Amino acid sequence: MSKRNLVDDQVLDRKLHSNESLKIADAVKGLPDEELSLVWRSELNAKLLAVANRGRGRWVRPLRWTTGVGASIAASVALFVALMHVEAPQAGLSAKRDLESQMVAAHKLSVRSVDVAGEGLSFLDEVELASAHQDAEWTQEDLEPL
Amino acid sequence: MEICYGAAPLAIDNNTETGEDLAILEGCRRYDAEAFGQVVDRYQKRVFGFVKRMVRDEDDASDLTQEVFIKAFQNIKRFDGRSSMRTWLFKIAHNLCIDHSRRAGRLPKLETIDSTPMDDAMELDLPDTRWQPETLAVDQELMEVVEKGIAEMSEKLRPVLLLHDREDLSYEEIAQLLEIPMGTVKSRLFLARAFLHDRITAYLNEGVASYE
Repeated sequence: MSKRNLVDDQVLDRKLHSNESLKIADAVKGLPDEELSLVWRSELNAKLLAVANRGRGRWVRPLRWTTGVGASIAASVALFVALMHVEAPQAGLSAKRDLESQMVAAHKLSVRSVDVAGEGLSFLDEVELASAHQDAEWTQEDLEPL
Repeated sequence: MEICYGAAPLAIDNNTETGEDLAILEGCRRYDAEAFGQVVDRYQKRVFGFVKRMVRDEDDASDLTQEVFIKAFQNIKRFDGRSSMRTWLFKIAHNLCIDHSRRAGRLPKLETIDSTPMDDAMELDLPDTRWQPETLAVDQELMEVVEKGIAEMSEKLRPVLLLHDREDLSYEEIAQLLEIPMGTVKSRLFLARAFLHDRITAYLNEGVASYE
């Protein structure tokens, strides 16, 4: 600041701090506060909320995008894994079918053996009996019918 | 008083802003409307008073004041903390008022600045019986004279007077806000007070003359 400007600045400061000048400042300071209505405030609140939602949406949009991509990838992987395991139930299913056919065959056989041999032990039962008593000791009572 | 918040120093008003304000500011930056509502609570009357005296229409002032806070909230992330929140809000308010005046076709009255010789300003003595600034609120007529004087003065002088004498902003803050040199702030303040002084003097002299 030049010397002349400095002097002018000092003169200005002195005038600004004079009694009359400060009285004007007090008069301006003493003016009443302005009031705002509740309607005004509620309108403003609604607008600020809209700004807040838009502002937060800027962060939510990319988050949703990445989440969607991630979910898609996860679903694809899950589907792939599921398809890889599709064959395993088939093997179980055919085994189940084999067992079922065996049971049916066994039933038919037992029905036929009853028809042929009548009541009593079927040959299957005898076979079982024989295998069950393979190591049993024979008694006289067992041998007498023979 | 300055404290560091992140990378930018945050200027804090000596009167009111505390560490609690940092939490409010942080909430505002996360677009928390409730946090910004506290900012509105603190400054709405002052901003409205400034805007109303700048644009001189109550309905326009109401709308503009809302726009001030909406703009502030929209751009809260741009608030770098180099000035106080108060100064920043008044800067937004001043800019909106200037835009409003331009749209309304009102240009600053440049001739008013040059018409008052600074050496002659405020050399008159005001009658003490009537001129008591501390009772201004009681003297409704005198208050209206002051309000009318503010409304009639140049749009270059008015914001300086309001920001310094009513809102207690410093010369530095006003210079930063209005983007003018500090010397210009002082000279405009002086001229604004001189203008009001002339208006009050004329009113009081009329009163004395009519009494006589």
